[in-house]
Amino acid sequence: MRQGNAYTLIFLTAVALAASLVLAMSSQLLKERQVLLQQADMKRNILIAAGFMECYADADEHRREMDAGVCTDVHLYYEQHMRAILLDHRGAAVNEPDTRPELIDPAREAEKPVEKRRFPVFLRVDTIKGKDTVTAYCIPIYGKGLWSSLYGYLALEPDLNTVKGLTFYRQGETPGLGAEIQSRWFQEEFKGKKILDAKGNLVSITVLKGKVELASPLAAHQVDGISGATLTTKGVTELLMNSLSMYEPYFTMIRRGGSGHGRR
Amino acid sequence: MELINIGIRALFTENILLAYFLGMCSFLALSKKMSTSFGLGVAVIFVLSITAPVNWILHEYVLREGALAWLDPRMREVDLSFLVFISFIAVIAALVQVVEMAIEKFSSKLYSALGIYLPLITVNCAILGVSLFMVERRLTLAETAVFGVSSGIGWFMAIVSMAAIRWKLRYSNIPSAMRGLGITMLVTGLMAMAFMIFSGISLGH
Amino acid sequence: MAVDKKIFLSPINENNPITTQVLGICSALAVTSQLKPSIVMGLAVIAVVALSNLITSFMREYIPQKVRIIVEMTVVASLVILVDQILKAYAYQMSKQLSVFVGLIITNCIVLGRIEAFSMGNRPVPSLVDGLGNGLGYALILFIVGFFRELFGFGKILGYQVLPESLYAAGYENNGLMVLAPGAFIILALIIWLQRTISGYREE
Repeated sequence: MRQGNAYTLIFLTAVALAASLVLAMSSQLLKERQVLLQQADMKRNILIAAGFMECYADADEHRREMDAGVCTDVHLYYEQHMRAILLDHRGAAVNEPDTRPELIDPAREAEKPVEKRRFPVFLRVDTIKGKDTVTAYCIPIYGKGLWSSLYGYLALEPDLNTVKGLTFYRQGETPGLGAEIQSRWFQEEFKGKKILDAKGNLVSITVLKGKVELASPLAAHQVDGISGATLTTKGVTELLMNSLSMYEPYFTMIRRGGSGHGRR
Repeated sequence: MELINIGIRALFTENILLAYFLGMCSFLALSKKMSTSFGLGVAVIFVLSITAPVNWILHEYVLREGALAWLDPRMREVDLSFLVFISFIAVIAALVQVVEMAIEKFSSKLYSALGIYLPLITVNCAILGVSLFMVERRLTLAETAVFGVSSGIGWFMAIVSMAAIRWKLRYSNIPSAMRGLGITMLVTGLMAMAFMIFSGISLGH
Repeated sequence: MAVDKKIFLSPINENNPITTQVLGICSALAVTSQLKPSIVMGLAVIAVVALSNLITSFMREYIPQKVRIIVEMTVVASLVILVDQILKAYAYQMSKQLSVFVGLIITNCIVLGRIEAFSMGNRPVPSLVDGLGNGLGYALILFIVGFFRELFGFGKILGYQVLPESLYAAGYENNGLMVLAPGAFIILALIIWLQRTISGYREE
């Protein structure tokens, strides 16, 4: 082994250069594919929340890897059935062609001042009797769980009251406990629940500790909890209320008969 | 309130060692003697308290996507986050080197007791783990500082408790194949269970 | 090659990195709550240990003594970053689950431990074999722990329900402790007990 400070320095520099080269190269080469998969994951979740379960849902709780073939289909399917619009904090549509609604990171938006934030809405557009009709409104939901941040999508029926579907696409909670929020059975519970009370106020959905009493008048706004995951589910309840509140200006306008998104 | 919450969680319910399994190697290897455990624990607290905020600054202003925008607005697209692992470890290694030199100067007894395990703090998964969690959970600088110190204290508590328990176990009749690592694992499991009782505590929520 | 075979086989049992050498326990336990992440983590570690052993062995004549650890860590960290990038590109769902813990392979004592103990003083090919053997020994333990934790904690293997409904109807309940930290420690303690009884290794 050779000694000498000059040699040491040269060696270290060489190693550092070699490492940076290899890493930078691999990062560049793989980036496109990584982004493709990440996008496919998000779009798949938007589609599932918006009710396209039949095509993309797994038969069991298995998480299937997405390879490039399925990726393309998801993107294509998404383009065919969903339309994305961008809102500001007052619920008005914003025209910013450079900002892709699907690429908006809710965590980043939360750090911005309110007026600068952008809120994406993903509309499911079906052709009914020859006319393009919006059949679901899908919004991103985001908040803190117990161990990690939770990212998901919530879709509402055109009445903007009934839940059409809910998914979580990113979470780092305890496997088998908090992580169950990503499982089919938990997400199914939300379907058909209502976010508005009889007077039209936003009450959102609450995840209970334990089972919902079906006879209770509040049952339409509650879902069963996950035993052992109280704190994670508390986070879910909170983030649902927060996320929905941010879109209330827009939803209220639509419910009154406005159509802030225009026609295709 | 949130800061206190983070602190308490890092100490008890989310103890970096008993709940997250980080920092086990030196924990298992060195918890036989109380004096080494104590010294190592203090060293870990120190290293954690400093590396966590330093890594936060590094991540915030150099590594994450758009971080270099303060240098030049055109750099908004630059994303160096793939260098996170390597730069965090570099910071940790540098700091441990400094701590090693300091300990050698101030207490040669502790220095020789810790021996090879002092540089091994560099690869103590707990140190890197805390920095990585900080990134994952998007903590602020204040939260990171609290998280770092509390995690260190939590690790310290775990190793000192284990040393005390192993001291008591010295004369117990343990099956020969269980002695050493086996029984330590079992005791750790029981300690982890004990620390779980704190999960009912929640302040300010 | 009689020598090579022993290098490969001994870390799988007598010189198992986890149960005998007491290395690599940290990140091992965290991902083993289910079998699938355990397998992926095991494979990732095999790749990193084998390759880092190989690369550092090639470099061993040229590394200046003073900066030995730093150079070794650079090699290991770069390999881990590579593995992480590849996971994100080809197994996205799995990479989400493993996130932080893949990074922690860098500090996995096995990797640095084998470099120091073996590849610094041996030729590349035996070093590669040593890396493969140790990685495999580690992955084996992970597999066993993951298997039992998922079985007793969820009644499933690889996500498939294995314990029949009739068992649950009769009053059987999943063991929640298996899913949490203590369960992992206890299972590992039992594996160590068993393995050392078989191999005859004793401490002290």
